Amino acid sequence: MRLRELEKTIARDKRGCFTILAICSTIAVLINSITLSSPILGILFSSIYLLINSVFLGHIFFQEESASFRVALGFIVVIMLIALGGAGIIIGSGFFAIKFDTNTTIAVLTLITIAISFINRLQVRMKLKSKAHQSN
Amino acid sequence: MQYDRTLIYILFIGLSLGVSIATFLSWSETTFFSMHPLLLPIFFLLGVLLFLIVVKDNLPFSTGIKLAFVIAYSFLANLIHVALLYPILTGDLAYHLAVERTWDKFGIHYFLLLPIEAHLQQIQGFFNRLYIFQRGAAQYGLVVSLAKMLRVDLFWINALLIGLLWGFFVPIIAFKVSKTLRASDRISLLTGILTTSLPILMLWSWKSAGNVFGLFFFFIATYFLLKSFSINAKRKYIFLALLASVVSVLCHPMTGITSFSLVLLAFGIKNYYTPRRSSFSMALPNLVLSFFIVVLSLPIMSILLHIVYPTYSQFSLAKILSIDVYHIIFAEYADYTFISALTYGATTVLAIVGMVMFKAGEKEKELRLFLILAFVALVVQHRVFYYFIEKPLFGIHRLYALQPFIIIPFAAIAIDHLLRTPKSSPPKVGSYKSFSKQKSRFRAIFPSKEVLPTLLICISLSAILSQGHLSSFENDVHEPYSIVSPFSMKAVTLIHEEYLRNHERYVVISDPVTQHAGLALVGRYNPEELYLEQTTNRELFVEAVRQTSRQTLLKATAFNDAPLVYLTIFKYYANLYAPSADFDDIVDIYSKILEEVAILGDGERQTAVFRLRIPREPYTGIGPIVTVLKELQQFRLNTTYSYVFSDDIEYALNLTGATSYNITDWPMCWSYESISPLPSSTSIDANAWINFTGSPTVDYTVKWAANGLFPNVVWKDDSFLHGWTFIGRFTLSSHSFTSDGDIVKDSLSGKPEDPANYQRDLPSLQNCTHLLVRLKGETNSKFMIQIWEDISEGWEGRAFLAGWLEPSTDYTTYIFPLPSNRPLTLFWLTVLTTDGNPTTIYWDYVMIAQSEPE
Repeated sequence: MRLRELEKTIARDKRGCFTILAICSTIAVLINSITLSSPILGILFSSIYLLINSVFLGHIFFQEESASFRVALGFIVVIMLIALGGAGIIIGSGFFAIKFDTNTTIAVLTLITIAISFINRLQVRMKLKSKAHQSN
Repeated sequence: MQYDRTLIYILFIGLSLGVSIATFLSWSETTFFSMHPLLLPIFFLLGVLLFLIVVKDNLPFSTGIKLAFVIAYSFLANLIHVALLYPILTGDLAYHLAVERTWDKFGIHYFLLLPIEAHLQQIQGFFNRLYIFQRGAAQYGLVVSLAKMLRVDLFWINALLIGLLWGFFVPIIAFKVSKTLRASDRISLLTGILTTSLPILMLWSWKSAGNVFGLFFFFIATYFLLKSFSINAKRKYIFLALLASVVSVLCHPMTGITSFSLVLLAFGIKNYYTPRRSSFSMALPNLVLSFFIVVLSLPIMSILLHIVYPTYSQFSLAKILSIDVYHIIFAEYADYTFISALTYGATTVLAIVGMVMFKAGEKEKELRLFLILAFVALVVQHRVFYYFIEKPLFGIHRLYALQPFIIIPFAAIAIDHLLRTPKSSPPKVGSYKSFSKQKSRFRAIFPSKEVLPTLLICISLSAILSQGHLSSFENDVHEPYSIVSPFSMKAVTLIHEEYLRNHERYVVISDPVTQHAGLALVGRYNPEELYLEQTTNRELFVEAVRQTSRQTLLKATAFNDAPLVYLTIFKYYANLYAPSADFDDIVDIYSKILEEVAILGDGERQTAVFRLRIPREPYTGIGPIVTVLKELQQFRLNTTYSYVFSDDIEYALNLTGATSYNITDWPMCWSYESISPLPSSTSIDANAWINFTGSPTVDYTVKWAANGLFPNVVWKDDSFLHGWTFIGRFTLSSHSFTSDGDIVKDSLSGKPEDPANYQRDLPSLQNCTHLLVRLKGETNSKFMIQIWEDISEGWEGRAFLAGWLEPSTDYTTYIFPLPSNRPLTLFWLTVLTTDGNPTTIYWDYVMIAQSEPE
């Protein structure tokens, strides 16, 4: 499967498969952190998470770009969101009784995925609606 | 064609491998900086090849492949620095890693981890707390989150993350930035290469520090801002620009505030150019206002920061008056050599030329104005700092690093213009498909009239980038202290591994290099594994190498109530802080009084690690017998001893039932300390006898102190009653040397640095190994000790020198090794006043020990 097709398949996210996969990968990251602490598994699950969310974000923000630039720019936005999420935990820990541990990190990563997926699905639905309007 | 293509691939891969191999060959076990002689030449050739690949439009490569070459080059450029300067630089980078380590290990801010008064004061109010917690939050948040996701040690994420992000994304973003100006592929690719490894950026691009992450996100914000000008989806890109600016400000305020102010400038320009604006008269002032916001926001924020954090940055008109005209015009460039000025300034000049040359279409006018105004504003902002801000919060040369992100596309436009010749107007990219139709492939690639200028331009550009790398190394590497050495790393690992085995809380007094390695390993203010920091650590470390006393280590235990104290000594710092002492002597003395954990490495980076375990209960028992006359009746009485460490043994004798006591015959190594409670009258010669009278119903305790490590004392003076004569200097306004039989009060006043010198003959002592001196002094005093073999021989006859040392304000025993091969005949004690005010040193005893300590 070519990169563009793969990217399109992920971006369409039929039945929320890839959203579920991204959330599963965060849970796998959590399990890996608690039990195995394997860098190989960590890199594998994190790559899945980053790839899916990069594609979603590329699809949301950079539709006018080519597939490779879309994924690359989407990746930058994922990195920004992870940085912001981490910063949020750090600043929050100054005022509330929260800790920057694996649980809060995973919670933030999951929230990011859900938010991105929601916006992505919303956009896909709007597109489909507009296409339906055009065909009518 | 396939053959040419393969050849270029082989050449590029070969040179890249050459750079990688030369990089790793440069790395030695001691990380002494010795760049492999072939590294920069190969890197230079690689640069020339890359520039040729990029500038020759008729080479058989698509733009995507060329961009891949640029990214590969960008990775290598960062790899060289990361690999060569492995493990980490000391200073800021080590502190950033330490803070990240604290977040990773404990999940809370180090201010809360070991609450100390200074920290708690800084987080009292809401805004103070917000400021403290937001500093570098995005950088720490990103690094720690990725470490938790990947389960890779934080060290590697910290070392590699920014290099990888920079290496991969900066060329891409630079390419895209250039594209927003509707530049050709060649210009965009040139922008990519120049942005990724421009000398001024190469100083930072691979460093895992807040301002570097901030720069990275600043560049991304700039790209999104430019996109918001050029396409219809303005809101989306303004949202992304604001998002990147928030991340940037949470990495470093310098980049973040500038980023936000550029967003304002963009609004000003859009408002100025919008055809629907209601009033032109308001648009221009808005534009001017937004320009001045870019210029002044950072200086004003710097000054106002003192409201939430103790900083001292302030506006001052006096600063510019103290700067000479040459510096007023050229700023930092006034101090640069020609080569440095060319390295750092050439692209800026090219960019200014490019700004003039750039023929903007209707759509690009806004972009051009935005970029030019942003550039001018950044230049003026730097000058505001340079001329008017005293004690700026950051090195203002860092502001130069913001400018390339704005102007490099113009530099690329200027270079592109230089490359164009009338006979070689560039075909469209991708036209290599028609390439096979041409007869001479080589001529097509390098037409004879183009060869020389093209080669010269490529060589010049590559030379600038290579020189930038060299300057970056020279800027960072100050041997032997600027890089955390493997020996220090090993030292802190040994200590940490011991903790993992025993889980015993410890505290470390360390030299700066090992301190950075330790903090990077266990985090800041880790209550279980505490590396003392900043002034506290510095003072204790300096005291430790100057006084070689266990007392210094005991002071450290107060910080976390640890039963274990470690001391690390890096040879370079021992010599720096105790120039009169020798590293080997310091190690020798500490080997006697502390447990030696390891002596690692050799040369200037040699690192010694010692451990002190504090016993829970003092050791007690029956001590030697002394002779006591009670009312003229002789008794042989036992003493008792008590000690925590054998170098500080306290001997005590309890007496009662008489009105007068005379004590004699205590061992030579003992030093009389006190009688408690105070008797009615005393008469003491602490060298020989103690007489006192008191009530027969009172229990008196007489105490002596001894250093159990040096029992074989062959000569001592504990009373200073006999034999001392003043020998200078006679310009002193007053001096006195009065003893109460135990302590001598050595006072003087006169001119600053004027010494008072006293001497005493020694009975020609042979094979002496150590001198023990116990004293305390006032803060404006210094002392020196000299022992002579034969003073008539001048300096040649001096057997021992210790000085000038600042005395501790509490009684402290100083131990000095003596040259055992020289007989000792004359003892000198010298004291001076550092400021001319009266001062006093209290000498308790001087002892000379003969044998090696047990």
